[in-house]
Amino acid sequence: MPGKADVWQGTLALMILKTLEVLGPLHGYGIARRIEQTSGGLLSVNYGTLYPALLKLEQEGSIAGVWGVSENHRKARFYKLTRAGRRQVDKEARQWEQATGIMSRFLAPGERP
Amino acid sequence: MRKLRAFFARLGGVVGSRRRERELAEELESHLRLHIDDNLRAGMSPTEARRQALIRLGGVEAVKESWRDQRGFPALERLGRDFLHAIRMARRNPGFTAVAVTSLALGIGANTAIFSVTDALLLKTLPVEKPEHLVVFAGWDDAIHQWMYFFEYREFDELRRRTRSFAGMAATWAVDRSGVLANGRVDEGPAHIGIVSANYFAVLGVAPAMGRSFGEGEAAAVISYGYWRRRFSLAPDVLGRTVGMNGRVLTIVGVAPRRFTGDMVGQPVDLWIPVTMAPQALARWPSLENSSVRVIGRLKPGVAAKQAEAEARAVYRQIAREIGSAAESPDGLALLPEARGISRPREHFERPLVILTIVAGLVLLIACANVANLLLARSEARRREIAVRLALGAGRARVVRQLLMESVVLALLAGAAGLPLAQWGTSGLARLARAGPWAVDLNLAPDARMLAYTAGLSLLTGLLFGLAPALAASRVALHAVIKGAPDGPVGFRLSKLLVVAQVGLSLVLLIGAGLFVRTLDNLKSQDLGFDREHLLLVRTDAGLSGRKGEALAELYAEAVERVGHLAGVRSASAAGSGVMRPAAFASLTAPGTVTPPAAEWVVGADQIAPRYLPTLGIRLLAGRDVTDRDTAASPGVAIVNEAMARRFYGRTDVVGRRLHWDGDPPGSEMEIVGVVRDAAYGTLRDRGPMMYVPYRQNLQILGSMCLAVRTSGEDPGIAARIRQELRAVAPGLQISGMDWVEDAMDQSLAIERMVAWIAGLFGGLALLLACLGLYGTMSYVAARRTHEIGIRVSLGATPMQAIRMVLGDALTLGLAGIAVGVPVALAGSRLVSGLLFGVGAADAATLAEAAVLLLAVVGAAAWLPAWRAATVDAASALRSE
Repeated sequence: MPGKADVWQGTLALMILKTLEVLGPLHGYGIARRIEQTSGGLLSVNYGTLYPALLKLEQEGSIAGVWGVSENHRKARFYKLTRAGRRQVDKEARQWEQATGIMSRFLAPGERP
Repeated sequence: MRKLRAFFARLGGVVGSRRRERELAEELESHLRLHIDDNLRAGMSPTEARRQALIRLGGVEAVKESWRDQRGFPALERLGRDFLHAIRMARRNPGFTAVAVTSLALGIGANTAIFSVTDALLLKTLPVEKPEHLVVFAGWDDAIHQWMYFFEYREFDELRRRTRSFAGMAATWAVDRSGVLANGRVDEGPAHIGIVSANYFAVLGVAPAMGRSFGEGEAAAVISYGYWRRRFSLAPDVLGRTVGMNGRVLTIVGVAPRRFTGDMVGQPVDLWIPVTMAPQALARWPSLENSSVRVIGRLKPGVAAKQAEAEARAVYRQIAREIGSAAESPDGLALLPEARGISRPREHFERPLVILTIVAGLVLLIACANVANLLLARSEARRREIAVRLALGAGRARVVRQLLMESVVLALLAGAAGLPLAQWGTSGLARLARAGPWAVDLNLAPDARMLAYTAGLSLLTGLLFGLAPALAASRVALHAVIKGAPDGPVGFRLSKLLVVAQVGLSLVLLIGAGLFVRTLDNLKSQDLGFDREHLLLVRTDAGLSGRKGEALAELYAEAVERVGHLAGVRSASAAGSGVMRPAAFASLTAPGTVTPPAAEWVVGADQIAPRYLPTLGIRLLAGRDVTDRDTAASPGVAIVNEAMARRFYGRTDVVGRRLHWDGDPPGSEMEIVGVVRDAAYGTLRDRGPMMYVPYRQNLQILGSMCLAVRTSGEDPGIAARIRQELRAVAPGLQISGMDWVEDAMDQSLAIERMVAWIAGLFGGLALLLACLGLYGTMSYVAARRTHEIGIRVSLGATPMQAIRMVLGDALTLGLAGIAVGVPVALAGSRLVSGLLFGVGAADAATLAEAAVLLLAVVGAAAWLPAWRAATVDAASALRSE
């Protein structure tokens, strides 16, 4: 898919968690859609990465998957945040903000502390 | 925490559930439908909506595959798949599997059996707390070149009080005593009694399994688990019951844990008593002060052994000065590691066990070479399979890994099959060890160490024999194989090399077996220097009669007299230790001669009664025998053997020379009145300097005696008559053993017999394996030359010539093997030379015999393939390609 970047290594998990925090329980397809939309169409989610990432988060206990019915009456596997997952979103989001803050200070032109 | 949870989830994923796999398929299916729905809503035609969704999803299988990688541990799963495949392969070729597993199982079983014994006797640490902190006090005895472990109790007491380097110091000793009264019965055989200071168990860090340890001076005993089972049938109310010894009653206050049998490895203690009780509870035990004890110390944490040794030495020197104890060389005091306990049998078994370990290792190597050869031959049959796999894109590493897994599975099967064999071998070894003069009693129950050893050895074996064939098999020229051309030279050359190695190693084992069998034979059939036929040794102890000195000598004299007059007895006499027992040592000086270094003036010594030498048949070369007139009142005399005369005087006509025995009062001398032939006295290898003195002139050291009785023939009733007669002479005279010399000789050869048997057995096994390997390789060689032979036969060669061709190939391999084996055998000869007797380690005859035997076997193994190749129909041979 020309013109679109794949999701950077290591950020997908946080994006998934944040999506679930904002939208509540959601299926894999919905999560991918949401990430692509939020990025303004700049990111493309590779499903070969998405489903293993979901499994990994499930194994770590951050999310849990249950079968349910989608808004257009399709059977789908819904993922929702667990309590541990909620804590993790807060923690990782803070870390990410810190990291990007530092980076942007480096990249800001000509500013002196 | 999250990581850990994920780890266990993945570990669970390895076994993998089908349900979860199905769920993923459904999930992807629903994903696709949701996407199609979206596309439809965006206005696409149904076909286009589906097409676009499919394109976006990408390869479903690829998604599933990466999902699976996350689910479990893929490497582990591949290993598991290889393993299952290997097991299927093993089951599909039952014949091959059976042969490979059997030969490896023999090798692994042999190694495990010998490891069990080696581990129990040489390697294992004592089952006590922090055994590495334990040291044993020892003094170097320059005269007999041995560490001596005994100290007087009062020395121990002072050492314990004055040193600061030790967290604790305990005294221990052990003796055999028969007649212990336990559970209402008197022990027939001897009980092994540990005599220890009250803090013994505390210093070793051994908590009784039941009850408690005893206090100093308490009339109490702690029994071992084995004794509890043997004598009390594990009665739960054993605490508070009593044992009787020497008229004293001791209360059982504790039972030692099952694993703990004292600090002497191989000689388990039955019951422990306080050393302070020993003078009362044991017959013939000196006062406490003079009791001999071994001293075990536990180093304080952080104190180095060297540091403690320096302190102990200084203190010991001080003690020796103050109390004038028997400490002869305080500077020789040393602290030796006690982590593995001390063990007299260990000294005797160490070298033989090392040799047997090597022998078993060689057998396993031969088995490995054998199986490697079989694998090579089989990989011939599998060349197409492997080529197809490679052609389909399997990496070479992948193929090698698969093949290695197959060999590892074979080896693990062999390990499992080897365990019962090992169990059988171990009990056989244990029986051989117990039969010997040291009556080694080891705990050889299989344990985790043994299982770990077997598993590790199996794994190593699998890699060892599997690697080369796997590498060779995976190096196939694809195009050639698929076209059906014959194979390249790699596997073939390797197969020949393996046969050469097998023959070489077999030669080493055969030579070893030959040497040990010769040794055993020589020891048995040698001229002992005395007459072994119909000679009965009656070990007696009159100590319980309470007599001492002259009265004791009188009792023995009467016993000899009465036994001598029994029907069927030709002659009878007595000696202090007698033959086939280690003799006492005596250190001497010779007034008026240039005295060589003291160490060389130590000789074996025995106190003998008149007519002892002629009764045994030890020939008098010069001078006279001991007579009834050699008493305490008459001048001291001695009879020496040739070896002693030669060593000290360089000549044998030494009658009339004078000696001083260091144990005698200063100034007293003995005159040499006779010279006798050398005899294998203490052991069958013994021909050292030896001195015989009249027992009546050495009453202060008179204790137990051995009656030597020469009977006129095989007479099974004679033992009973002697027993009866001795009971009549003195009811207190205890008989501790009655052996025909030939039986005692046999018993003393336990280790030699063990080594000869095992070396012989393994030599035969090696020969059989080499024979199988050679047969396989030669069949292969012959098959490869069938075409050539066909041409030769059709050109007029006789079948005999064809046979000679193949046999020539085989003999070349055999000779190459011998050329490899001889230097290896010679290099190893230094290791065994100390154990040999009457045969050199590089014995030409043994070597030649082994080589000839091996060549004969090589020829026999090659005969059938050669004959088959030679009688092949020329026309079909020519068509064979």
